[in-house]
Formats: sequence, structure tokens, C-alpha cells
Amino acid sequence: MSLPQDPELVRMILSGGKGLNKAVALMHQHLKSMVHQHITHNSGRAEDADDIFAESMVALVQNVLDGKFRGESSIRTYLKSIAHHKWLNRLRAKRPTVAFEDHMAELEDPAFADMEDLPSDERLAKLVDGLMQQIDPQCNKFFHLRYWCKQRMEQVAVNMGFKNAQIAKNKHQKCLKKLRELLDGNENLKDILGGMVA
Amino acid sequence: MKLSDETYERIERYLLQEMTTEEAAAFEATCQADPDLAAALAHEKKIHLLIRIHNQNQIRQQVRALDTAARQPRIIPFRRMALTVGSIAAILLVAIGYWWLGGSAELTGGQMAQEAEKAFAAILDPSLRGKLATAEDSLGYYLNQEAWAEATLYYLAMPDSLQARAKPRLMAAQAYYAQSDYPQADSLSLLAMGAPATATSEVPCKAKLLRVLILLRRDQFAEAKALIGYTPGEDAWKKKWECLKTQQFDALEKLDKDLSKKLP
Repeated sequence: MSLPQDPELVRMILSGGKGLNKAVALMHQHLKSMVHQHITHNSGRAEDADDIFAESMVALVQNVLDGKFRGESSIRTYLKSIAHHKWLNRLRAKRPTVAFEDHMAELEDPAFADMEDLPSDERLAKLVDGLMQQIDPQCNKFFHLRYWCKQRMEQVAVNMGFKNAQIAKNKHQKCLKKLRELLDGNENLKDILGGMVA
Repeated sequence: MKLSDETYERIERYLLQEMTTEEAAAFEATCQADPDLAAALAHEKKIHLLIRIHNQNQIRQQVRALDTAARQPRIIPFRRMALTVGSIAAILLVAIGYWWLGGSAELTGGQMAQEAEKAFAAILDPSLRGKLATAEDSLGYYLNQEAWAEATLYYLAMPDSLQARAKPRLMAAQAYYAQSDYPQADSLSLLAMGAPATATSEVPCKAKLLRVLILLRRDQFAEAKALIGYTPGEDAWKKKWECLKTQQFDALEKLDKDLSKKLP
């Protein structure tokens, strides 16, 4: 399957669930080589390229969901810009003065310079995923659609096959209660998250 | 601190930026005057961050799984499996034979498996994908597309017998193998190996070869040797190798039976 047009890709991401997974798979299929080439041509190894691509995909999806991607550039250029800045930041952390081999002026968008970079350290990921695994899959889907994809409760109800938004809302509240209890019981994770939101 | 569902809904709308500017300003003012509400807001921010990190991890994991899958060999339609598995078997057994004959004692199971994988990847023909003819081809197609739900439907549509499901099981085992899910691939290939050896005697033999490959990928070298029928001091395994190399599956089966009769 070819890569859909940008508006369709954005729609797939915003729809969450399978649509989002499909969009990620298609972007991986069609755009990975571009990022890979950019990183490896600028002193990166294949593993660096894999890592930067994964982190760039996370940032791209997050920016689309947060409404930060406004379609002023194509998704292809946007992803490459994110990857470029992530790689530049990583190189600069090792060496303060870094010059790229190829001319990348069009990617030097200052908007990416202070891009949110949530830590991807494995310890935090394990703590978070360990806690979320104790949650009913249906609740996880609620959280995914409502909190991450920022869908209205009416839309969540339709996507999850509930009769109406009120029934979905009640279920959602129960799920949240459970999640609050679990987080309250995990002081370690609560402290880490507290430090991050402060 | 016990807050109502309505209060939590307000917090949710605030954090999801669903409030108007005026509503948000009023909410912030209330928070400053109400420590309980401020504490609940801080707690809910952690919940939102938790969900954000979890979902970002999911994307990371999906991308890494796609990276792994892209590096793995893809499954192919069953009609070509004889050629594919036969070729793998030949390459694999050349390697095993070479090692057993003492030609390269330092060759490890992992190295052998890597060689077999390279050969496996090289002989795949992507142009054959998606040509549907039979239910088995459809199953192969959907497995190839990683459309698990559709593949399951085709699998379940086949008669529930060891005989009828042997081929689908072998195909599914190959799909799991391509996904690096070796435990699933192993259990399915084991089931396919157990099919009655009648008109489809090729299936158990091919399943056996796939299992050898899986065992090597899991560094279970001794088990792989045992499965192939290696007996120290005898050269029966060399005949088996010849049969596999030339895809004489019926002859291989006969040798297997003869060997099993010799076992104490």
C-alpha cells in the first residue's frame, strides 16, 4: 500500500487504535529509509538511525495529536526535521560543535529546537507499562482515545460501541478510579511523575 | 480528599483544553482558592502524563517491532514452500553436516542459524504474494499481510483435524517464525509434525525442518541435532540429508521410520 496523502495520514493518527497503528506502519514502510539515510550520512550508525526514527515517530504522532502539526510542511519534511533536530541534539551532547555534511537549511526550523522530549528511559517505561498492564484493556482503550487522542466522549462512545456518551462516561470514571488507586499505591512512580509535571 | 465526578470532569476538560478561555481562567482562579482542587489537579496531571508515556511507549514498541520484522524473512505462499524449505534444509544440512564431519568445529548454533536465515531471506520471492486460489492460499496471503483476524477466520474454516490443519499450522508456524515469535512457531510446527503421514507426508517433514531452524534460533543446538536424527557412529543421517536436499520426502519418511524401529 502506498503512503496516503497527508490529510488522510493525519485523520488516521487522530482516529487512534488500528488507524493509528496502520499510519505508523505505513510511515515506517515509506519514510524510514529517508531518515535512516540522513542519520547514517551524518556520522550515525544504523542503530542510531533506528533509535532516532522511533523517537521521531513518537514526536510526530504526539505533535499531530496535540494539534502542533498544522500542515505548513509535508509530513515527510516534518518527520525529517524532527529527526534532524533529535540527531543534532544528540551529537551536540557529545560534541559541542557539529557540522552536517549535507546542506539542511530547510530543516533548521527553530520550532523544533525546544521540542518536548519526554524521557524514553527503560526504567520509567517499565514502571509505567507495568502499572498500565494491571488495567483492563477496555479501560486502556478509553484512556488511549480520550486522553491521548483527545476525542470527545461522544466519539469515544461510538468508537467503542457504547449506546451513548453517558454510558461511556460512567465506565470511563470507573476506569479512572482504578488507575488513581493503582498510582496511589506506587509511590516510586508517583514521585517520578510528580517531578516531571512540576 | 473526596471529590465528585463532576469536579473530575471539570479537571479533565481543563487538561484536555476543552474549556473556553473564560472558563479556563475561572477554573484557575478557583484552584488558587481551593487547595483540595489544586491537589486533585496536580494528581490528574500525573494520570495524564502516565497515559501519555504509556501510549508513546506503545508507538516506540510498534516501530521497533516493525524494524525487527523488516529485518526478518517474510513468509511465502505455500506452493513455493517446498522449494523454499527444501533449499533451507539443504543449506542448513550442509552446514550441520560440515560441522558434524569436523570441518569447522568452532561453528556455533547461532552462526549456523544466521547463515540459514540469510539463505532463507535470499530465496524469497515477494512477487508471488497475494495470488489467491484456494483457502490455503488465502490463509497464506492474510498471514503474509499480518491480517491476523482474517487469517484466523480462514484457519478456523478448515476441518478440525490433525490432517486438515497440518498445512495451515505449518503456514502459521512460518508466519510466527517471521515475526520472531519462536515459542508459538515451535508449538505450531510441533503440531504440524504430528500430522498423519499420508498424502501430505511433505508437511510433517517440512514442519520438522522448520523446527530445526527454530531450535537453532533459540540456541537449542542439542535438540536440533536430536531432531534431525543424528546418531553418533552411524551414517544414516547422511542418507536423510540426501533425501532432504533432493526433496524426496517420502523416502525421508521411510528412513525416519526405519530409524525409529532401531531405537531401543
